Amino acid sequence: MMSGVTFNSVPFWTFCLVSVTGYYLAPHRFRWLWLVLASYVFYGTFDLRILSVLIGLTAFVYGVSRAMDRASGRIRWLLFLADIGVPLAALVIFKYLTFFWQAIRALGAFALGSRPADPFNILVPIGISFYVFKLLSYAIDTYRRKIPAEKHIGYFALYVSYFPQILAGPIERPGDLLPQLRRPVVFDPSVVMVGVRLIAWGLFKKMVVADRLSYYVDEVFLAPQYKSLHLLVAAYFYYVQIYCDFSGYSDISTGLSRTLGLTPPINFNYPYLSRSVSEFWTRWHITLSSWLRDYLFLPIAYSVMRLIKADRWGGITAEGWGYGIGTFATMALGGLWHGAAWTFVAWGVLHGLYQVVSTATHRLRRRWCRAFRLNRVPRIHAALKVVIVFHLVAFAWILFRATSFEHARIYLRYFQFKLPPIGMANLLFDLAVVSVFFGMEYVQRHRQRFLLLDRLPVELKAVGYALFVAGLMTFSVAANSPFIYFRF
Amino acid sequence: MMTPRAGWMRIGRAGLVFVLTLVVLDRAFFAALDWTYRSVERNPELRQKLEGVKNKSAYQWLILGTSRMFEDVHPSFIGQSLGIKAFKEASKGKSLLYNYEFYRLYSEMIGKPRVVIYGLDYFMFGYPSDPGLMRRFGTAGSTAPKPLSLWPPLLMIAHKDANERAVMRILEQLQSRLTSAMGEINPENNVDAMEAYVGDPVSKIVERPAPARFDTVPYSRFPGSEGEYFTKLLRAWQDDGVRVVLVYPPDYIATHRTNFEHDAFIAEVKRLTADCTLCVVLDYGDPLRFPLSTAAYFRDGDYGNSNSHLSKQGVEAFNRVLLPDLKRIAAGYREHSLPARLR
Repeated sequence: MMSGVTFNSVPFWTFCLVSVTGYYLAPHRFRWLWLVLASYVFYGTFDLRILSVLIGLTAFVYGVSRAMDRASGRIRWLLFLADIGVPLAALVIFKYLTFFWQAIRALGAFALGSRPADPFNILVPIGISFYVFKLLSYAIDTYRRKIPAEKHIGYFALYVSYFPQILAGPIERPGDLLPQLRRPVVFDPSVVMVGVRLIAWGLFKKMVVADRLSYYVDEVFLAPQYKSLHLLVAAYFYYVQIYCDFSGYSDISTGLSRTLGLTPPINFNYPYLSRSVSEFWTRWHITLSSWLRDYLFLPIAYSVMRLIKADRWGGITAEGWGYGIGTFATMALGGLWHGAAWTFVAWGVLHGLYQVVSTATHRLRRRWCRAFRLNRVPRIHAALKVVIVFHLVAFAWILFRATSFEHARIYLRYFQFKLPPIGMANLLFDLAVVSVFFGMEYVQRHRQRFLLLDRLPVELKAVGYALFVAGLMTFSVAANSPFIYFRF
Repeated sequence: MMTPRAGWMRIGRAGLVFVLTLVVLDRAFFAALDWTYRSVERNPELRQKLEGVKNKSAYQWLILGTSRMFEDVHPSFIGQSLGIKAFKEASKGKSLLYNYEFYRLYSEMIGKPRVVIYGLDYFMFGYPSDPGLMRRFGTAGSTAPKPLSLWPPLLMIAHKDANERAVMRILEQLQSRLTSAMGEINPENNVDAMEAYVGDPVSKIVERPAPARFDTVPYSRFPGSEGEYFTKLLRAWQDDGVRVVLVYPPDYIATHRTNFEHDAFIAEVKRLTADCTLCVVLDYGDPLRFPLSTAAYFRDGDYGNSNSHLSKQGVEAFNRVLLPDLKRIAAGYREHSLPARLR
């Protein structure tokens, strides 16, 4: 694991304080330089070699995109291929080379009896999956002439390396971020306060909920045998853990951007309330799923539909083929994006399967709803959907969390409806933590019902914030564990 | 409409309220945590536990160590095989300081043992004894500051690690009470249950090939945080004429590879005990001396996991190797007369 300052550490917050103060003290025309330097220093603390990869890719995509913007015809097309091919090649080499090589050698070992491959010893640049996707969306949008190629290399370098987003997103589009980076920002205490509140909430999610749950979840996943009903609870808790871990990171990242006067996109929108798996993907890691939709799913789906040419093929409409193949391919690649392991691919394919089956059985399910008269009780019907989708997603998370298919099989095999006394204290404590968390999420989601809180005098609000911070200090986990998505 | 000056005044007032409330709440939470911790650690006192031991003179051997000795070496096997009654005081958090204090208390209340079997741990010099467990002696008070002291300004941050350990200890005690309430006895607090315990029947290892990269861990260097108590123990044993067997129990192969300085650690222990004429070091954490790759023999351990314990099946296999060696040592053999594989 590369070392470096992490979001939930004191050195990082000292660094942020210096960065934000320097940003507001610097004249507008030099702010980009200040942030680029801060971002490179931040990224360089992990390893200087990975900083060179980042700078190299940034310079390449900047230069090629500028040339592509001026070119036309076949040259433009070739430049576009280079513009997306080189970052993709870097991603494959650094992150997936061992995975693909071992897969090929495993096939060879199976067919020819040769020796399975040893892994390559390659340093994986942290956050490469995220910034390569940023580079790709920039290259594609420039090629499609949705945005002009950025002339100022400083702003472009800042778009790629912007430190609140470089490790784990949000994967912000160039059309959204670049204009914001150019806009002059005036220090506004109320806006900074919004950012600070978001950061505090993100830290709470990470250090109080996610890290606390990880003790229980790790223990159960480490040794699933004879854990009985704890296996079910750990699957639920892992859902909450990964949600709090990643959305907590996103809140911290967004909060930091807000303190700098920027408005990044929302990355999570209460995904556990989804009524379908498709809806889940519009609420979970929104910047990634919209990236996959725009740059992968839609091109694949349209290509399939164009290939079929007829209205129907094999009894299925061209749109059906386009949707099905597009969904499976996108979700499988989306799974692989999360990590170089077959369990991630299977996790993605399972999500694809959920969505295709859901679409294919839409009419049948509507008929069942009428038969069971669920359509007359829409609230119960909606709650039922939420519960079912929650379980489907939680089940898929087991594959995501397992270290291998064998591990996942053992996990599922030992599940029983019996609660052994071991681990009960942790379970009760974690249940209390999760209940408090969902209670606070409820208040945030239904803000209009708690307007009284907004009308409180500022001194009383200060007491509330102090209570929150004291709770954060008391119940946060001391160990400084990295965010789960930093691995991807 | 508020003037800018009034606005700043208001912000300043709110800031002051925030800071004062935070300091007060910090102290209140700290005091509450400290009080809860003291409440749960009040019982059982060690003196009470040792006073309650029946037929004290029957105990000839004493087993000391951490969770590895709790899982790996059992009085029951020693009794059945060698006909010797052994008292075991071993569990998580019982490092050198605890064991030194316990040895002194045990000598005073039960008598000096003839043989001590001491469990070596890769982290024994750097792993501090649990402060909560230390309170069981009734002499070591809390090292935590008084909640009303003005410095440091935020006690919950300044003592974060200790507070976290207190939370974990409270949960462990709660777990212990829940377990008892559900009809299971914790051997750590019950001498009879400790003597009946023969290991965890389940291997919790999910076998997997060595990953491309995994964290490896160096051993805790002497003297570390509690190394001085190792010296004190050696001196006490020497003065008391106690024969000492320092046992390094087997690690699962993945843990063995994680703890890559195993041989250096054993060499360090041998160097430290070179002057101890009654000490013998038995190292079973070597693939040539015990089948470390048999996953069923181990309860846990993994690549990147520096801690490993034997399963019940592993304990049986291990005792078939350990007991004959212990028998020779108890009979007065010196290290140079032991089988070559142990030297």
